[in-house]
Amino acid sequence: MTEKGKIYELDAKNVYKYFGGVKAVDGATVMVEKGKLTALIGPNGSGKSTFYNVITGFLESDKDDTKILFREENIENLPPESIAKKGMVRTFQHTRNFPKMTVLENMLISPQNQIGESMFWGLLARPLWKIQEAKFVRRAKIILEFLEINHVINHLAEELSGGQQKLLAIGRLLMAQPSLLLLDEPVAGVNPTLANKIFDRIIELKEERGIDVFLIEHNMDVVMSFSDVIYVLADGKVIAHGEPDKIQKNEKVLAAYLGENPDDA
Amino acid sequence: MDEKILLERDMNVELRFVDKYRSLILAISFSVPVLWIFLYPVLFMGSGTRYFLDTFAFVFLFAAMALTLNLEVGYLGLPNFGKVAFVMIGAYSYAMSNVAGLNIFGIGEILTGLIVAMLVTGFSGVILSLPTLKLREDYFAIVTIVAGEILRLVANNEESLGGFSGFPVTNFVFEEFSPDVTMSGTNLFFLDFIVIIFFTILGVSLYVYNKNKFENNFDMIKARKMAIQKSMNIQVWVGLLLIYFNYKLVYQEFASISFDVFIIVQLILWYTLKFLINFSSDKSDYLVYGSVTLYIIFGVISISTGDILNPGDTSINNTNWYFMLLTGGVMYVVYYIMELIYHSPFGRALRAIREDDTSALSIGKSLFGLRLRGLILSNVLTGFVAAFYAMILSNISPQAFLPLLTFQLYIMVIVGGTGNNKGVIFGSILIQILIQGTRRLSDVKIYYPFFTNEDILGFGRLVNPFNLALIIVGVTLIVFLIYAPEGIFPEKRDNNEEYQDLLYLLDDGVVSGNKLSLKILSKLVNVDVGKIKMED
Repeated sequence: MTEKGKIYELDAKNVYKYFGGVKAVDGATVMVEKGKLTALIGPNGSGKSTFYNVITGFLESDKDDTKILFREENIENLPPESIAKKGMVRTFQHTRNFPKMTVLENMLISPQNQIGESMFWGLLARPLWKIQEAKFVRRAKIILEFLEINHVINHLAEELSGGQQKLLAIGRLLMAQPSLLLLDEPVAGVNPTLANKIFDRIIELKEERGIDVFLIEHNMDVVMSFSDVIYVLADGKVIAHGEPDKIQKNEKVLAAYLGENPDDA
Repeated sequence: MDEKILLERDMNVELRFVDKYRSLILAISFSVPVLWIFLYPVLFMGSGTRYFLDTFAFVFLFAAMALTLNLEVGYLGLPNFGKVAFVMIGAYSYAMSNVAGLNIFGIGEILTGLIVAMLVTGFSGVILSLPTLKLREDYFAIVTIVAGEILRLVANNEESLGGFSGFPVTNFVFEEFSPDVTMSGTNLFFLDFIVIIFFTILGVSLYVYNKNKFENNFDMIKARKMAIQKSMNIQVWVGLLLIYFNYKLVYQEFASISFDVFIIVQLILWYTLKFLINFSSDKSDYLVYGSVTLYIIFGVISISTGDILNPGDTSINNTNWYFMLLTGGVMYVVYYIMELIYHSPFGRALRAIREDDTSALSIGKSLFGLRLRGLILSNVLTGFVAAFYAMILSNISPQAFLPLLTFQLYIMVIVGGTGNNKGVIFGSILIQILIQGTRRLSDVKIYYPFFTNEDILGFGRLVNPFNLALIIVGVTLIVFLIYAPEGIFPEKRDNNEEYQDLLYLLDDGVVSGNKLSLKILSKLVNVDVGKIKMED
């Protein structure tokens, strides 16, 4: 399957997940190439979020021939926190920030390898982690400025609007200095202007900071105009993948979205 | 981007009076009746000081236990309804170690007992959490409440654990003194003068030194408040030490109370100054120096004339006074550790787990590891406090560890303010005084509804105030859960300020604190400080 000369950030082969009799994900294979914005689309209930949950370790794949490689390293059966520590972090479909903490605190939770996070050094090595902490505060302010939500830095996360919460969720991920972002519907329920802004930011991330993005999205306008590669999932199977123009013309995809049986077409 | 500009505070929104002073109004409206109950026995029943001191010893110990519960409920979000089990394990292991006369490395039976209590309680916390931590919160609550009951029933029936009658516990403070010696206010000597003046000068010079250091980086009010806080932190530790040495060296022969009172009064003075600086920012230096001078003059005069509390002998009971100070010290140690945790990244990660565990997991936080560490820490401290609780009970038996104790602690945390350590202490003072005070009052039945000796309204109905207190506590809890679930003092929301303050470490390129200690620390943690500053 792997083509030569291409570097894959994420290479998830044959992912299976059954819930009772329901085949939520049924042998889907997705490869995220370095430097290309990859999108995963599909009708409701096609298994996109379940696919995410499997590759980030929240669920286990149901068959043995599954192989999930992240930067050519096997991450299958690893717990979610270890996968996140390797540099693959995700958001959730319903934004999950830490509501009763301030925006800055939300941001400061994310960085990996904090000295003060160990029980002993947190209590004993205060001068040491304070310097590290100052560095994180500076980074957080730069990121919040980049996302244009630095004016709400003192607010509790629960007080932000829906769009700001989405931006904060992305900001929290950026604090972890990831190499691959998995965004689950980053612009769902966001007005078109803000949606375009969020996507502009995502493109900037990819181009300026070299962070790869793999996202799930229902908003076809933005997906078609911004993404490089699109995977289409229907009934747990990848029915098509390729560039946006090709996907738009693909009959199977149209059928899946319009509700016809692809076999009849 | 100008980092030095303080974060804009959008707190200058016009608030209604009730919202602005919510905590203050709630606190005062609850403490006035409780204070009345507290003072009633002394004013109208002629109770001695032993009642005061004992009540405060209970208040301090319960506050310390409530603080450890706050770590589990307020920081971690784990509803541990089996707190009493850990208190019981701590108390029993201290008592059993004492009965067996354990003395490792010759450090004394008391210290050995404390260490045994901390280790055993911490370890039993691990044993209980290994199977239960993966449960959902509500099931965790059920399992812990059952564990507490099982433990109590086992202790009740097991002869080797003392059975129904339990163990006697020796209170080392009570052993060193004969219990009915009262202290005198007059025996203060030249040495005591020197120590008090030295202690005051230490406080002032720490203040001046830190003020100059902070004024380079922060605005005036903030620098001075931080300087006072820093000076106070050290003064508390030095004060505790001084009281201890005083107790060990001086008072064995000459029981005198003035010295201890002066140290406590000085700490209260500094604490008040910290609030006063808000109102007179540009004259705060005069305020500090002036009041400290007044304090010294007042001290010298009152000590030399021998008139500080009472002329001649005070009626303050020697042993109870020192035991109260000891429990106060225990509470301060627990409070200090809790504040350290709250403001460390470790505590922040714990709070993140409380807010949303899935999200914390997705960002690379190990739920199980962090929860386990939080519980171990909480249980070790519980064991530490429980040893003193055993001392104050003087005889521990399974009846002393009913599930009611857990719920008392919960009420303290909820009424005071979940996640706010100062609030929890305030809540403990309210609830514990209500319970202890009315227990005292129940010796004499009083007339309903005004808590009087005389039947004013002609109802002629005598009530037991202690039973009434339990009803009041229950109703208070319900009222709080409905109308103010976050408690009298809600969790702080201005933590951002201190993060902002950290930025001066980067701006100036200087590292705060002792360079040598920093070097040693970075060797221990295996992190290069220079590298931390460079990379971004």
